[in-house]
Amino acid sequence: MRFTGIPGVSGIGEGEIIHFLRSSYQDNTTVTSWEELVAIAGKEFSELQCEVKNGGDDDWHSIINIQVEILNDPALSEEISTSIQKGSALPDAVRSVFAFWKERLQSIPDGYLSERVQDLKDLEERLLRLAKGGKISLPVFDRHVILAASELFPSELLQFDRRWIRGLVLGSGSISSHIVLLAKAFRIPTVLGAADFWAELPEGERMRLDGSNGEIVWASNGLPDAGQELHVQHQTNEVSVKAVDSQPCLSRGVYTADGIKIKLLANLDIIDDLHKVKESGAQGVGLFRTEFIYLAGGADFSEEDELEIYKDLFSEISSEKVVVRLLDLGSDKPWPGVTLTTEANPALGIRGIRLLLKERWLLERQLRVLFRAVGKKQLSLLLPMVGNVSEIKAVHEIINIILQKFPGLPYPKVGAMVEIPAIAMALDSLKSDVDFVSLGTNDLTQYGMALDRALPGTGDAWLEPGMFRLLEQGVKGARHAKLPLSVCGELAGTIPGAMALIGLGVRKLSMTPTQIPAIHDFISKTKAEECRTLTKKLLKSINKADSLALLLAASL
Amino acid sequence: MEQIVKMGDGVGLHGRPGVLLVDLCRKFPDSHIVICKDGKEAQATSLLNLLALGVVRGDNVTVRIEGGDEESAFARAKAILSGEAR
Repeated sequence: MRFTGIPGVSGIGEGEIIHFLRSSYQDNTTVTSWEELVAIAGKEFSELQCEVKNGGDDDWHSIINIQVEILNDPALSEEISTSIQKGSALPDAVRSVFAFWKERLQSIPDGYLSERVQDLKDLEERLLRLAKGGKISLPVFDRHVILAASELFPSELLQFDRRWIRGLVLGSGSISSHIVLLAKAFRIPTVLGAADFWAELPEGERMRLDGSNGEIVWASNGLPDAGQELHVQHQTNEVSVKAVDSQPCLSRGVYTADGIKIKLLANLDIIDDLHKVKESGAQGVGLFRTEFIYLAGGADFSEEDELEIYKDLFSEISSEKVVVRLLDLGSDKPWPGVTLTTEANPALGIRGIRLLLKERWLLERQLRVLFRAVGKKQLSLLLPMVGNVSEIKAVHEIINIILQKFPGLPYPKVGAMVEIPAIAMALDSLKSDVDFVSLGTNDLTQYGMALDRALPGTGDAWLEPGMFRLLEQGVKGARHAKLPLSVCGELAGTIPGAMALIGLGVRKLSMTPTQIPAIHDFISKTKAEECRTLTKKLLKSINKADSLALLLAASL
Repeated sequence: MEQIVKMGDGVGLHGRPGVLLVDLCRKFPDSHIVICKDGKEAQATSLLNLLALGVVRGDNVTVRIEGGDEESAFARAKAILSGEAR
């Protein structure tokens, strides 16, 4: 039997199961005055701050800062001092005052604020420990471990030797709790919601957890020996192929003549085209351009209408096979009342993700409706016109908030559209904040060549030497950053384009559904090796005419 | 002085902006800073009281500042609450 918790931090971790139990307190207090306790705790915090300084991660500092400010809160001090004056022992005074504040913060309906109760608990734990003059002796590791605990405080995770921690299984904690934010910052795969079973996990056994779907499996429960890993990997792949098979309308993809698997996906603009996607033999939807349903719905497009559209879509094609691009409004896709009409250069203006972050209610609305529509399944979200990682972090923050209202819903996969040349050159900067990237060749060419995509005769501008090298940089960058990449511009749906992209190493192409049969046919008769040879020549070409001639010769 | 400020920060008056406000009180020791929402008041020197206001994104809060350097303190406080100061 497999155990499944709530996905916390995605990633796969493997190690020996260790239970973490916080030692219970003793009564023989050695510190009796609150002032003394504040001084000792303050000293410990400043040591901790020095220790984490080199890490440079904002999350660490802010968690410590919040606790330091609570420690120094005049209201807290006054209440504890009063309680002591009335005859309470220091630990009891701390407990009762903290209980009061925990309850007060807990009662706030906003999830993010009530999560701060964890900071209070953490601080209380520290104070009570210091009050009895003791230090927690954290377990020391010399091998890879997975910690199972009812709960774990940020300060504890900070003090562990994290090199050895390969995963966390926690009874409590939501995805916006600090412990999860920290685990994410340290890239420790984490599974939450294990309150009922964490204590039953057999200590000392080897376990593997998958933070992206919450699954855990251990040695006596079916985890194969380390030597069989490759085999397991292989089997998993086969299972996913079978899953595709069970949906008869979606195909298994296509192999090149020399056996390289290429995934063919469909771009979906209007929901009425759904039957075309299914008939096309696509393996899924690589790009669902949601702005078109808004544009079609007009200025008073309601949330309920939007919900119905997503529900219809997900009932036809599982959400796991659909990449939903969040609203890409602005520029050539204005929406009344939201997009600015006074911009001098709308294509370079507030559009795509910039607009979503400026008009947050739009982003929040769309996330809310999508989360309602998807049930408990995995969503893949694609962010339009990403220019830097801060934009993605801002979206994560909003996802975290909205997601709190949907307990049990897995954290969506988040991808970035690569349409701005500067980000195509710096995909490594996105790697810890996105799960995948999608190259939008239409806009990338528009911005790369400073050439309006609507101008006639610009369809082959991607063959300009600099443009093609930019595409290569994007594909290479994604590979180095280990980010799965697909191409969803129109280029992918042309035979020369598909050939050049496959030659560059692209293995996932998303295109207008009507193009899929032709591309499918062409790929099955073409060797990837030929594509690579062609691409090498294209990369050396110094003018577009030569490149065109090369392509023509190759695709005939 | 007293003015209404609309919260602009991503997730309301939570830990980080709270810490910034407490720190602001330290930088302007001559100003007495109070944040009010729905009839509840919090001294900005107390992070717990600030958090307990339960201010979320988009809320309107009243900022009341009295003291010698109230104008510059207000400008800072407004920047923190509106999310411009990090």
